[in-house]
Amino acid sequence: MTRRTRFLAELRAAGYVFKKQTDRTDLYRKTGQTVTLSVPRTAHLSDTFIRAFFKREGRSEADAEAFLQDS
Amino acid sequence: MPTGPQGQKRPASETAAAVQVAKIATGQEQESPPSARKSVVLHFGQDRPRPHEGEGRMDDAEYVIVQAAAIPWDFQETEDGQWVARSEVLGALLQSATFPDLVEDIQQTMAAIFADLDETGDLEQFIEERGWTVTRLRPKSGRVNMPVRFLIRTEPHDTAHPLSR
Repeated sequence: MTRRTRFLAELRAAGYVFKKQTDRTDLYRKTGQTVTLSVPRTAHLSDTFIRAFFKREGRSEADAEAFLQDS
Repeated sequence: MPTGPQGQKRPASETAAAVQVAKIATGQEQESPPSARKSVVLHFGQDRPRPHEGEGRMDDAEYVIVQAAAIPWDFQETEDGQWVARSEVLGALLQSATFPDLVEDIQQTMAAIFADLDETGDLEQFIEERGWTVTRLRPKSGRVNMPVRFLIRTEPHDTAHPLSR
């Protein structure tokens, strides 16, 4: 499974749903909240982007590194 | 040169428009006229209006004007050459492949965020929680399926800070 596919699975597990598409990104919004994430439709998601997401979700750095290790 | 709804000068190309947005966002440039206004207008255009029977006037759209204090974005170039940006005010996070793409993606993301909030009925509360104001201007023509365009006025603010701060 690609990193992007796994990341989208993490996103959905965290309660984000797809809302809108822009030229290059897919906008996801967390259910019941107004926080959003714009995921590029390109295959590559950078480590920085993924770490920023995990941090924003209040998850540990170890969780983020475990995700990145498996990618 | 194309003009905005209040006669502001608008760049003819999308790239030039993106550069102008970046300059306005960083306070390097102000919308004309530059005089006593404290805020500047960032026009987050959605898809260009499609010509209908030979017309494509922007004043066929409903305009939602959001008066905000500031919408700063923190950004950085990553170790693998991507660009990541975050807005704490909007609760938004995004990644782009190049800096020009980042400017455009920020522009489009903000329009998409406000459009989604409007569709879910959350826009007014979102605005109120931030101490902003929103005004809706509807066209006189009353055409159905008109596009909704968001005009966001912000105070000029400092250049965005690195994401790592």
